[in-house]
Amino acid sequence: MKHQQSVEPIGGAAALTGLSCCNKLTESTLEVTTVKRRHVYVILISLLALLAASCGNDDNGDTADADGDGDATAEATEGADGLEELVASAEEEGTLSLYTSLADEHAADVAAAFEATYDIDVDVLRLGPTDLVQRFSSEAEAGAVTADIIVSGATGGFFEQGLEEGWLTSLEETRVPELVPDFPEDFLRSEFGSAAVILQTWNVAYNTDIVTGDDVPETWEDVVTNPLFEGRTLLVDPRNTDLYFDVYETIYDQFGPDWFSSLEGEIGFDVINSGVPGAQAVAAGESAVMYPTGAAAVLGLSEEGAPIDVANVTPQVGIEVVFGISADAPHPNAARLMAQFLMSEEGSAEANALEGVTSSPYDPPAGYTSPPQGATEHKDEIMELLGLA
Amino acid sequence: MTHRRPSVFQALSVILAAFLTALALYPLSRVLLRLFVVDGGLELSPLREAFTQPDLFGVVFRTYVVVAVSAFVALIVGSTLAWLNERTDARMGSFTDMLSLFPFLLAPVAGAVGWVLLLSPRAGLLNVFLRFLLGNVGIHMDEGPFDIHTWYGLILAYAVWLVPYVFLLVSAGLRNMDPSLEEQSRVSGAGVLRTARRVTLAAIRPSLGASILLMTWFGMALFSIPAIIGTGAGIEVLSVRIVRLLSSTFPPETAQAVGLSIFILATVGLAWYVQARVLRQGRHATVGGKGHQFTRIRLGSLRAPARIFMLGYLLVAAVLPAIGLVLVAMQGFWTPNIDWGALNLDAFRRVLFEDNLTRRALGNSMRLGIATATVGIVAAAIIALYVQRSRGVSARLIDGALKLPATISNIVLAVGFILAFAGPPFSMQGTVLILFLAYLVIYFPQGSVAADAAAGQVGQELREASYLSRASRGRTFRRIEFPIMLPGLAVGWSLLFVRVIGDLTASAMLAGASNPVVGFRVFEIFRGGSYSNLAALALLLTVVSTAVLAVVFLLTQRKRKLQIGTGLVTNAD
Repeated sequence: MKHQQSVEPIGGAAALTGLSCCNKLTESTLEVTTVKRRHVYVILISLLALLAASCGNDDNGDTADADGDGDATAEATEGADGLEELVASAEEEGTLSLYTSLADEHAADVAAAFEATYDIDVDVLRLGPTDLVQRFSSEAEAGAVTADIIVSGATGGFFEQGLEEGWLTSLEETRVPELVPDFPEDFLRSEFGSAAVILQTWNVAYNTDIVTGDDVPETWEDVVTNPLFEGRTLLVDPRNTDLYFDVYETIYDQFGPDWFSSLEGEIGFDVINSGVPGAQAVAAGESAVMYPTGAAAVLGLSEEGAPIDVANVTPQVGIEVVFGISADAPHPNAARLMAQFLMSEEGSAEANALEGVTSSPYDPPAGYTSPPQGATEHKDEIMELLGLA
Repeated sequence: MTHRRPSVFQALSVILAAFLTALALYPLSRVLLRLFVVDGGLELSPLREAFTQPDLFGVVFRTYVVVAVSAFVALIVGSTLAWLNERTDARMGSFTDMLSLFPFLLAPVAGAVGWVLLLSPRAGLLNVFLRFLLGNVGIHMDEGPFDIHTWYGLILAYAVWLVPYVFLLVSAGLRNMDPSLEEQSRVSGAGVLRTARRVTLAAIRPSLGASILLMTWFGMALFSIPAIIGTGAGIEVLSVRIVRLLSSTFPPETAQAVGLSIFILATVGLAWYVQARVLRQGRHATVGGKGHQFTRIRLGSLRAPARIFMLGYLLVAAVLPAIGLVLVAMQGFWTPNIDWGALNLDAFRRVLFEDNLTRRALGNSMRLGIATATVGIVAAAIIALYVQRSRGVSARLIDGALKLPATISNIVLAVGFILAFAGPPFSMQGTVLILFLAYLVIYFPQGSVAADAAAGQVGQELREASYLSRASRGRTFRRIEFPIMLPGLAVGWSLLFVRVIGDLTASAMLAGASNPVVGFRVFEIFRGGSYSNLAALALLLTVVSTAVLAVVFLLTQRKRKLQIGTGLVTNAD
């Protein structure tokens, strides 16, 4: 068998194993060119260019206020004298950066409604609730605040921590409530330094070809007692976010741990990552019911002609979407104007314009209860009952 | 030994390696510091929490089973495909040469969704079709016959995705070895299969070893497929658990997630060690300045089945899921009861024309893909040669440091980038530059693997001949090494390009309204939008990727007759 004189490992093995070749030829016999001056200049210039490119690359326009809290609030206080002045200052800023966990199209609708009312461009960043707050907090920690306002369900102590760490300005400090005196007091949320502006209840999506007439669930108890749903139930992964536990805690309070045992035992369920693919699965007939879900994903599909609908089961409880204004917002007045917009009766109606999807605090759904405080009190037990610990 | 003044090229290699290493390690160290150093003291309790998590054994065990079995399947399928393509007349021109790239064209998210659409037990489009066929021969089923949300479904999806790594490396190995060895074996009376077993297999052992290492590495880090298919099957693997720790609660359990990454690191390290041992035992062939002549094996009546097998892989890996996505995109939602009359292009129109953000995202992703791939692969080539040449520990350390990011979750790395570069003095948050740097660090390992393979193809005689003719290192690189490596580097370029435009986890932390990218949009639409929009966007991405890759391939894959460095390789066809 012939072999080459020098033996080299093949492929990635070379570098991965550090086995270099057994090179017999010494390179000392070779002449090598010296470093030419112009080569050095080329390298230096490239490095400088790289550095120059990285600095001052400011697509956002206004940079964050380096001084932090003080100036932003001071500006805000001055602008709070009347809505007109606020609108003027906000429109001067011209842009608003909105971080939100609302469903894609819902977020786009809210942004569009705001843009239609005021001469301000809205940049929307949409992420799942926990990714959203993680991004916000990382940026705040790094001193690179991009968000003006964050609109999301109150997840995992983020809003409380935000107030403590000084990332967020509380509602009172922004003086926005003075501009919306009619806002229903019940929906002020001082623990988050905010207010509940969008109410999204958790509901049950069902396939209208499979589930008809009396089988359509009316209460949360119905979903674990109807044999039609056995082996055909899709549960949105409770491990995704604690926000689902708003409804699970309420169910626990009303129907006890047996509800969960029945679900895991008699009914049996499959897990899906989120409501959107879940709704798709129900529409296709892969499953009969899916929960807990907002109505947005479902209604979009039924408009396309898919055999799917949403059942508003009682007790009606869900996410209360609140907002937080960045303390270092690049556009503080625009942020406050958005807050005012969401809290005003007209703005609230526009933000909740999709019927059946979300509700305004000015017009909560029948049988609505606010999510319990300490919603994750029984989380571990519930997860264990469901076999998802 | 006489002293040499260092060449420019040498200096450049070192600077480049140093810069990239710093870029890779600095953000990571910022994250680690933040986690484990509290108030000036070392805080290791999060690590302890990581190792006392519920069902840790289960997660690790399941991960190992999935990766091991799918790697095994991929090894067999990939090697067979490579052998068929390189040694037999089943090859169908450049088409089958590119076989390995097709699964990469479909972003993993899209591929996984496509498979769910096809093989869900009740409403899966392929299942419905199969039931229809079975019904015609008298077999009636309510469900199935296949179910993607099972162990075998998950393993199939993994295997399909891992085959390209095997195909690439084994093809390179086969091309490097002297095929006359196999000819001699056959002339001596051994049949085709016996030759394959005794001669070919032994000679390409390093390629197989390298494939196994790669599959372990990337298989363990894979996220989209187990997230979408595994969740429905109730099979949780390490990568999904890590992302869950980072994404499901606030504040995120970053320390525990990092702790779990150590498992991945340890496993990959073990595979690396085993591979090194295996390699040391054998001698392997390389390519030199001599010419190879060989005759492709004529398969005769087996040629058609062989070709069907090759095309079958393509069908399974890319075509079928794409069809599933097309049907859903045109229907507007997922349903097995396809209303052929109602199919429309609304979703495509929405995504392409009405969604300004998505258009900007497409533009950004294209630019970022091209920039990262180009810079990445050239850097990888230079560093691969540098590491290959120098025997020192420092070279190996650099190599390891640059490959390290592949074992850490992208989210953790992205958070590191935020901490390191988002704020003052760099203030890069919201820019395309921070995305570029993050992608470079995150995807460099994949490029370096291809570059290592390409570098390994350069015969030492050629380098020696170049130096003897008094060419500098830089000139040798430009004139000899780079052209030979070019086909391999082009493959690496394509790998990087596809990965970058499909990235979602890092982009979730770094992209936004001012610097949108497409992969991130795809995942967000998956979670918060509609399937038809998702399908439309994923397909658009695939079309664009295919076009770019086709151009790259046409430009760089030279005809078989003109392989430089291996002399003349003539085909008997």
